Amino acid sequence: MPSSTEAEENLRVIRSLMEKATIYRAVSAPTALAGGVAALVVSTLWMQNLFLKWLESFKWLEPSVDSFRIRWFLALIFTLAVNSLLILREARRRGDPLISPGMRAAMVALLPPMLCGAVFFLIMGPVHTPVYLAVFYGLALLATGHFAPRSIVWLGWSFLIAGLVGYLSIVDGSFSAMCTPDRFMVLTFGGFHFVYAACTWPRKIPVVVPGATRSDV
Amino acid sequence: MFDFDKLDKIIHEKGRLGIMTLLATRPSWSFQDLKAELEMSDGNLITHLRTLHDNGYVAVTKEIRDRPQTSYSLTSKGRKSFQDYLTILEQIVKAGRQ
Repeated sequence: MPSSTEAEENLRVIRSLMEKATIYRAVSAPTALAGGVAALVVSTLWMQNLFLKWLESFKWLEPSVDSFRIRWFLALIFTLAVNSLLILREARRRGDPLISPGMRAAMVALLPPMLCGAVFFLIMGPVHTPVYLAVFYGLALLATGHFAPRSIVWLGWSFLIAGLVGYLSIVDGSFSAMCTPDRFMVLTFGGFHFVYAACTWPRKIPVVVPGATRSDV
Repeated sequence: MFDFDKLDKIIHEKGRLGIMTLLATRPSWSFQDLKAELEMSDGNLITHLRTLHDNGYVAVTKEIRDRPQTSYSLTSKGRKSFQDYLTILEQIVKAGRQ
């Protein structure tokens, strides 16, 4: 019969393995990289007025407001498409269903703040939209905190703090002097995702198993 | 009152306990994913999986997708044995605290 200490140790190992196996990363490193690239491309096109010229061909649009929404919506669609492809590829590799229990839990956690973000994205003007998006996106990532890796929680806090600081600077009138909505988007949705991708990119580390010999393999 | 001598000796081994734990979290696991998660050598993992399979705890599925892939899952006997094992461990911990 094992001692109480040994039994406790075994239960601890079981708990930690189960937690590790059920961790779900809502934003993978390649998805973050795609998001960062999309933000950079969109802002570059915008700064060179290429995007505005293209939008002007659609007479029914109001360029000053709609171009902001449309270009960042396109960036979102691109990032989501990359994310879907990656999830599909990983599900096929594992032989798991596309909508895994982890993904379902993440969707349930992400939905309320993302829904709020979408509504604010549609109704607010371009000055306020970026800070609301950052706040709600940050809240969405933090909502997955109980089953997400620590890096996602850090990313969530970064967006939340940046959004709140942005909002306070809008309130005291310093936002437009320091930043434009597009710069804010590039700094947060571009910059933060680039940093996240760099920090979490999967690295192949040779694993040395003590006692393992070539004949084991 | 539990009979502690009933503690499953097949599961009560560090490597096999890890395998049983992971198999309890998902419907099935591929060999490569188990290996990566448990950081075991191929030989160790194969030996433990064979022991579990021979005792009827683990089912093996071999299929060819892009390449041959072997996946493992808990049988109903394996799941029940794992639950019983957990229950007995909890009883031991409780008994130790009293």
